[in-house]
Amino acid sequence: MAKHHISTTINGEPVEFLCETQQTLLDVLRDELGLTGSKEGCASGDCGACSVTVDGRLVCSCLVLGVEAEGHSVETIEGMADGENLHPLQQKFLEEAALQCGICTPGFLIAAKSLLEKNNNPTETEVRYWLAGNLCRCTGYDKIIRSVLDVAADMRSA
Amino acid sequence: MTNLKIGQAPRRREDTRFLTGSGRYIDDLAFDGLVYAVVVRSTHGHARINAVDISDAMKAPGVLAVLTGVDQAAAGIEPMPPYERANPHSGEAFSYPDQYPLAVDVARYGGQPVALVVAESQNQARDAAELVSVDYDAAPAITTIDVAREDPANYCLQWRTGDDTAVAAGMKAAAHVTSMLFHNHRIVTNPMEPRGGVGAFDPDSRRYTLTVSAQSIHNARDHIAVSLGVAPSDVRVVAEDVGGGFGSKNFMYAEQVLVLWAARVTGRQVKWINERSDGFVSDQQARDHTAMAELALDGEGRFLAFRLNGCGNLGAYLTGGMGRLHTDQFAALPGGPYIIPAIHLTVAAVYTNTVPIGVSRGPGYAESSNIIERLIDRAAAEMQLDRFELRRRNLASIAPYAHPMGLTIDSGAYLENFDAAVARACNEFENRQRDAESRGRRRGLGVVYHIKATFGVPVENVELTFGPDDHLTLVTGTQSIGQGHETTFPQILSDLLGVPFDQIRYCDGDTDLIPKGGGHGSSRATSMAGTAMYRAVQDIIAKGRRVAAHALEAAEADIEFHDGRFQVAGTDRDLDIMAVAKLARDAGEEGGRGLDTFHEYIREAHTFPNGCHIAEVEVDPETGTVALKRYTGADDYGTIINPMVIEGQVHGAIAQGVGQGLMERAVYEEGSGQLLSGSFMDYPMPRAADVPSFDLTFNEIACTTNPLGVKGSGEGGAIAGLPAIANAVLDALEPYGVTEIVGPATPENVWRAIQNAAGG
Ligand code: FES
Ligand code: FES
Repeated sequence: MAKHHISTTINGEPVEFLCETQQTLLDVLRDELGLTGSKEGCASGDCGACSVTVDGRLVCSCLVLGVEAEGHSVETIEGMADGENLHPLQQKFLEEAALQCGICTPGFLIAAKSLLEKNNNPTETEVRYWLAGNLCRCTGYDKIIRSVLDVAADMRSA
Repeated sequence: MTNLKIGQAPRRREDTRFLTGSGRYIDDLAFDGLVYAVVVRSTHGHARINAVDISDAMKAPGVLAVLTGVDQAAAGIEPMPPYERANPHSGEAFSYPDQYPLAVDVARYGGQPVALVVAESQNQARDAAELVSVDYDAAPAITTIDVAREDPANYCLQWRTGDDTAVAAGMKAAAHVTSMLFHNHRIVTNPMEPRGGVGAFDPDSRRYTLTVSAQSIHNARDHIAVSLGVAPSDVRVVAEDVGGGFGSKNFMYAEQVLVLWAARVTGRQVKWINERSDGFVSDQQARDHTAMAELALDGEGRFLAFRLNGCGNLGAYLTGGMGRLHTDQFAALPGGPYIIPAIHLTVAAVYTNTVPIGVSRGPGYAESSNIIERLIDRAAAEMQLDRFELRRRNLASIAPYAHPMGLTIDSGAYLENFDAAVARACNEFENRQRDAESRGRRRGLGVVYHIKATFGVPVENVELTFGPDDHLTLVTGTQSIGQGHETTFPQILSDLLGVPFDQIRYCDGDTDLIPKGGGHGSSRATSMAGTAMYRAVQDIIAKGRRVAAHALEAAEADIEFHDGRFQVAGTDRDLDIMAVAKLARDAGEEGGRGLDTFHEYIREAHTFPNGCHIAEVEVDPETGTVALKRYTGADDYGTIINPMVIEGQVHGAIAQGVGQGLMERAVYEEGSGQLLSGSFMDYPMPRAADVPSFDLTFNEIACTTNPLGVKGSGEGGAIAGLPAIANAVLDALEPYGVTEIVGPATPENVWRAIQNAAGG
């Protein structure tokens, strides 16, 4: 099968890749581009472990085809820290140990970042509902939610 | 470069890699010349396999091998042995069917591996797997314990223990006997990282290497070796970062043998990664236990006797330590922390045509706690006693407490924890209840006192090595798969040895690094490896004292050790431990090992993590919807190494427990044995919006049977969650006359219970 040639932007850098029609964006990121930070927890849009943004919109990359990235801008966990400097959400997750095994963490961070970009003053309920697309079996969510609320407060006072 | 103390909360070292997407989970690792394996699974719950036709699959592009049950016999692959094959108390052998990695002649559960397809690419393997044609004769599938019990051939074990005569006397003397039937419904653990592994075979050394997502790799190695027909030393198992396990990655699996065998056959490194849909039908599931229980009380509500007749559904095969789960963990503390002078248990386990059962946070205790805690609420209702007061009256207030089933619980403050949790949970409850009433809702509280005895592999070992670069390296046979040992174990050593935290390296997850290992399971890691570390440190200090005495020209008796320094008492002459380690190494002390120390610890006593958990729910009687509003805990996990890490452990276990209480249930279709809840769309798990923040406090009652005083914190909430939710829902629905919720408190179950109670 002929591969498709796709031009896109990933974490701010222009990227071109070849992919097969049926490959998901998650497959492309992980298998073709070596960006293994996005995880596959279900491949059915139920767990959020594969969360990325496309043109700023939060999506499950397991439900997006690689070819659909043509001409769009994709942000993944690999682009979240600024070099050695962690993003405030990453830093807060670290300080509060809002992760355990870490497999769901990239998805939560991407989803939380996307929330705070839209709403820097969410209620606890809003945070819980926004992050309800992400499953975590380790943490019971408590520290994740608190970290996101704390970062939102820090952002507002900054 | 600071030293850390036990009780501090250093940030977790592993987290930077996880937070930046640089974790090294099995599916993220690069291997040379990888090929891909896909498992063909039985599509029937029970079927005779007449033939497996692989001819089309073999012709498909990229296919390297298709392995079947027929090839398996020719290749000398042996059945996968259960880890425990006899009742540890009676010595009676468990009865179990042989479980080969690939089904031979008969498939006993839907999802059972029937063939393995290996191809150059993942998609080629998937496509070829579709072309494997299996000729099945479907047979009726047994899915429930009740049906399985009708045929004696389905029993794995039956065992009676305790004091039947005393129980009969207690029942006779009782003012009231409460009895209840239980079904602790089945769950799928679903760690967020699916299982997977990469098999390699080196034809020169004839050694196998399995890189895997698993949580107890030494045990897996020993049993994988049996199935491959080789010595354990011919197998190396390696695990890097593992995305959760919670018990479901504890015991060995067929795929682990298959990828190694496939590596031998193809001469390539063979990778298999479960999809979530594979996981639902192949990860060992958990719970699924029925029981008939009777509690005898005197006129004041004091417990006199407890009789429990339980039976577990093992699924299609006996996996790992499941035989022992029923005869040890489940039988260890029936009646929990309550004083019951006479206890008798009948324990049984049967096979069905369902996915094999394994362990999941709190196995055995989750079943037994659910039984006693719901029985107490029922007894309180029947005797018109206050259920809080009934618990207070019967909670053991002495430590050590000799449980009638044989274990001695060394320490605990049950009443104190109970009162603390109740005070916080009940504070202003009436106001919240009134407020709910005004909105047409009902609020209820469910209280539970959880306790467990930590079991798991009874041996642990550590190796401490002083490197030439002023680093101390810890190798442990325990395994961290999210619990943060990479941080907390060096923290313990930093405290005990006075070595700066940054100079301590941590290694686990490789069977070639250390001879034994129990991985993690049953919250054992810190008490087991912690004790091994503590004793190794005592050895190091003794050795260091001799070396330092020599170097400082003092008598050994005059050398004191504190804060990482050996000092001649009463002088300012001292040597840093790293310097002493170097002297010892250079002088060839201890046969050239210097201060390097290996210690193996064999469990001498169990630990007993415990605590009181209280759930507060709000029920909408119109729709049956249950919302968990508050969750309060007052727990005793012994000495706390790192409070930040412990909190997270407890939170996660609570979410799993309330998940079972509110929504999770694995459902099989009768007759066909098809798993109906085989995806996240049919099998809900708690999400952030389903749980509140948890109100927890820790009462650090040091365990007296290990030198660190730790008890283990991974499971309390998973034990308490189900009965806490059930008791809370029944409390809320008390005015409706609802006395039982079967299964999770889903809107449908709750709504039906309300309708049935109303005679509708
Ligand atoms: S892998 Fe995409 S939502 Fe689960
Ligand atoms: S941290 Fe393990 S699943 Fe979320």
